[in-house]
Amino acid sequence: MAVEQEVEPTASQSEAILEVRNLQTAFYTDRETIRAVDGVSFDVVPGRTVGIVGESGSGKSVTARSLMRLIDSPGQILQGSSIRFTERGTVRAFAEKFPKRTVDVGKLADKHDPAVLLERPDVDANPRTFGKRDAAEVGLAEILAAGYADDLGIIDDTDCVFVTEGSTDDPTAGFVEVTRTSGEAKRLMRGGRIGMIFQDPLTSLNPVYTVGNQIKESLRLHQGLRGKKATEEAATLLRAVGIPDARRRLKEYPHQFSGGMRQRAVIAMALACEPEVLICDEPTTALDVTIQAQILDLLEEVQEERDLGIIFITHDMGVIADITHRVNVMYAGEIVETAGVEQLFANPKHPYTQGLLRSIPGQQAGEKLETIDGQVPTPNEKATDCRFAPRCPKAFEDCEKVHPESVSVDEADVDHTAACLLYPEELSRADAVEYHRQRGADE
Amino acid sequence: MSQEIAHSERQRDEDVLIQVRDLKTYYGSEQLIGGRPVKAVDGVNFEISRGETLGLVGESGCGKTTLGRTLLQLETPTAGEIRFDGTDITTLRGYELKEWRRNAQMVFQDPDSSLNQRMTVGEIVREPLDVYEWKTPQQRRQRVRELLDTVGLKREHYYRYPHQFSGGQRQRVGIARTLTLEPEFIVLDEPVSALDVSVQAEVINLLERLQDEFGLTYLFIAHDLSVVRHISDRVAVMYLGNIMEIGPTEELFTDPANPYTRSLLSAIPAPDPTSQKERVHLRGTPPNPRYPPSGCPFRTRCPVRIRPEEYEQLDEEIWDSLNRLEEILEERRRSRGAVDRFREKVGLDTRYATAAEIREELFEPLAVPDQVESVLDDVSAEIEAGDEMAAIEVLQAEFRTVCGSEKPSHHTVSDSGRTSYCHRHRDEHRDPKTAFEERT
Repeated sequence: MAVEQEVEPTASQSEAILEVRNLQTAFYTDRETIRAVDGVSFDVVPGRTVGIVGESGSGKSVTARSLMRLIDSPGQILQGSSIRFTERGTVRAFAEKFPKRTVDVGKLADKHDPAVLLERPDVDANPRTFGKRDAAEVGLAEILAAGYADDLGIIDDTDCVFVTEGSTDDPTAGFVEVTRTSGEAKRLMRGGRIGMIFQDPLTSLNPVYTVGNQIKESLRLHQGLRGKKATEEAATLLRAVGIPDARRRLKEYPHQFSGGMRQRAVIAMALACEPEVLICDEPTTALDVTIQAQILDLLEEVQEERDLGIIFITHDMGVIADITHRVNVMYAGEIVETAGVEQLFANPKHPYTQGLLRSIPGQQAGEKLETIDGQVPTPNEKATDCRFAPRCPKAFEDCEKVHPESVSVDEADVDHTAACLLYPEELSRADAVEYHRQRGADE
Repeated sequence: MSQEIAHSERQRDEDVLIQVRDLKTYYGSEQLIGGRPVKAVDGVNFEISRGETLGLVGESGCGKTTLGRTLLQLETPTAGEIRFDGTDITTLRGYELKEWRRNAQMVFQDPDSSLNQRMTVGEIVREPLDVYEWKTPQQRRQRVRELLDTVGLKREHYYRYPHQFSGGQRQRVGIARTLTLEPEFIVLDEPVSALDVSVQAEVINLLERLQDEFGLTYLFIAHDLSVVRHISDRVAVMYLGNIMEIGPTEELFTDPANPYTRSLLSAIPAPDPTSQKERVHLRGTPPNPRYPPSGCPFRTRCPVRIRPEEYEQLDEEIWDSLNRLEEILEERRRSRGAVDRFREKVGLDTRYATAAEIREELFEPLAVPDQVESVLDDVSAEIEAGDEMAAIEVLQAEFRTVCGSEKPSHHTVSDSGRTSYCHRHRDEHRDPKTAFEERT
């Protein structure tokens, strides 16, 4: 029996190297549970940049940290979340390095029928969990990835490499499930396959080691380079990120670098591990515009050179317009709108996106700025309503009762979706509400 | 067609509230004797009219905050005068100074650090009234409640603490505090930089409303140029302690005269993915204000620096490499410590690359003309001899122009009295706009 492929409507699907599906990250404290990320899905494609934009508290950074597996207790990535690294070279390398943790999904599928598995009482999932209407559409791989297989007892705890085509010795397709990696596999994935740069470069640079030592450490851990070779490579990297007089700079400490130089050094460190995906969490927010322009240019340059998939997190709509190809607008842990960047700016559909774009101080002086009253709420429970409704100028009664699902909002572009009861536009308001209620109830 | 003017002496009517003349604020030198001061503000001239908002923009470290603080006498100026309503406030002392300070207040960037976490909002806003022993305590409380109302908070917030508020609300508390003594002039130092866009919009709207209501005069300091464009009547662009260009907002934004303004504006990412705007690339960071470049402060990064005639046709990339070479040498000269010198003397490996290595890094793939090549040979010789200063001099002797040898002056560039600080406005040179078109 063939394993189902993802049917989510993403044009770039076949090329995606990282697929995030229904990511949920929650923090448990004595007082409350905070669902910081609540069902986020998107793809990362090599050579392209996907933006995540939203106000502070919308869950952008927690999303990034979840991808890096940097969520510490009391935080937790919940069952049902899946982060699949599908880049073929990586799957091959991981399958070779961790044969005992590699699962041949095809073989397993001969023994287990996903539809039957989902019926079992010890599984807390249904087709809606995977964005499907019918159990027949759900692939075994998805159930495995989302962490339900442990409950079923059909794979081991530590299994994290899933081969969907070819054999475990020679995989031609499959994925590494990032949420299931641990130990060595987690370390190789973090940094080695998914790199990250943070807003404040000083948090990622150790003040008591020279910049050269820190870059060489990355080179040693991820590429096995030592001694003179490592020094040479480190200098080459510094030159590549536009730091002149690189040999001298290697021997300097972070405090001797200016802000822009530090961010360049951090980018060099991330590149030293040769990642496939680079997460940039507000990398230019603390910099001046002139330096910001330099760093954005640099990122575009290295992206082109290395065919990097970049996830770019920022609250600055100008930067989003400048550097991204696709944008996800986040609000209170959910993606409320996603579209190609030109589409989003030309034709924003969700009232939140519209408000966000209108509150940017315009090109014209004088007029009063539009505002979005109130603040981003802290989500404590699974959403049963629209979390933006209290601040939404277009909200109506049902917005407080029905949770809006992502629907396609643009006939010309199936990839443009928004989670709002005002859509689909072709339905009457009552029908649209009913449509969302239905899709929500399936869950 | 530009004409030189001595003091940007635009004779406006008695509506001028603040008049700044040759203001300089230097910070102390590191060494006890003979050290060099940091020239945070290095001779600026401008005026602010009553009820006007002057935006002040520039990269971090350009001296904009120091300028704002000096206007309020929070820093002592090294030279120059500040006339507030005709009185030179730099001469005020003691009681007079305290009395004057009622007129001028400041809103800070970070409400977390400018509001005392242990005081209630009411106490914070009331403190200036207590300091000046304004009327009776009861009247003070009444006034504070009214002020909370004015800035869009609730009267019952009087007894709450700052941590119970959101960032935007805390900034409102800071604004309420500055209003207590009914000042005429407020310095707003990056008041919205720490806030989200939508909250930012609320605070900006509030500031504009208060200005209309109380006839306030603002100096609005920010590095976010779109905010400045929205709120300011006029804008001053600062670089390394100097005002590079000053004039009416729209004009300055749509048709910048100074090369620095032009570069700075082109670096702002526009919230429009279809925009095909060509960015001007500014390399590197502003120089250390302790060691500002000779002549024009912007010359080390200026994309349209005036070049010697014989080198006018030299390749853009070679110019770029020459600039970098000078930067590297300058930096080495300063960072070289006694230990390095000693290691060099006894022939130990130093952390510096050799002259040949630097040349390879900078000039390797370029076709360098013989004339330049021979200059580079001389420079290399000096580097090998360990004398960076001499190497820099060799470079400068060959490539220096008016940009490096003379300080520019402010030239009037439009009918509105906008002025720009650049040699290119002189008749014998092509103006910056033409030069930009030629070089790109």
